[in-house]
Amino acid sequence: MSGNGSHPRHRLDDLIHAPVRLSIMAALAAADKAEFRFLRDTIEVSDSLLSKHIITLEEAGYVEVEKVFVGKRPRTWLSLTDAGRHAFQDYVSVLKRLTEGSP
Amino acid sequence: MGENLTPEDALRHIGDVERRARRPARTTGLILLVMGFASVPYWLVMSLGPDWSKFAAMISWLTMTILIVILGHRWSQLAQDRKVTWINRPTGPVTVTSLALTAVMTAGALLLPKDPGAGWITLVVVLAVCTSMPMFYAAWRILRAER
Repeated sequence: MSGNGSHPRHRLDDLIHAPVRLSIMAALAAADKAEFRFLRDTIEVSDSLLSKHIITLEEAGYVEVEKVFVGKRPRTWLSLTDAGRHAFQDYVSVLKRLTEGSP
Repeated sequence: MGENLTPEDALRHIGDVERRARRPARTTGLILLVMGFASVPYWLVMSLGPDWSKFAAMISWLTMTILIVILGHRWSQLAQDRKVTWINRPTGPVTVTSLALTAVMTAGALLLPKDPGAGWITLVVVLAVCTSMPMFYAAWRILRAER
């Protein structure tokens, strides 16, 4: 979180409130489960940048990473954990309160 | 987008990303809608049309089904939507109802008299419309999840 003040902006989750991580969370909230390349193309970032932010979100317990093989091809599936989904919902509701101007 | 996100920017950005991420699911929903509309004339032709039109309808339906299976497989390798997975379950209500109604229509097409009366024709029309219902329901379930 941003701080301990009473204004709703202090309740914005700093981990999500960054452009690439916000894109990852929004995409996974909408698609339920996405393959790494689909996510990369959807949010238009490089492999390395996506990997870096996925690790951050995985360490926070927001994103689950599942590596599987389809034949000989490796696939990395990404999804939100329950904690990640709740955090994203909270984040969106704080944003809505901020844009509506209510305390 | 810069590092300093305003709440308005963030909400707009979430909307944009969600729309892009749900594209495979949305396309599946639209295909189901098209199939729902196409299935009514398909079954009417298969039950009541002349032989040449039955052949044309069968080829068209088969081509559409093959395309949908290929596309569906490709999309399932990209993203998985909970609603689409639920609808595609082989033992799910949508699949089971579709198969049951298809079996009824196939049996009906075989048992139909050479010169069906108004009663038979009404029954075929009603059943053809019923056959499209699982597809409309599936499309509705997927498309209403749009935020």
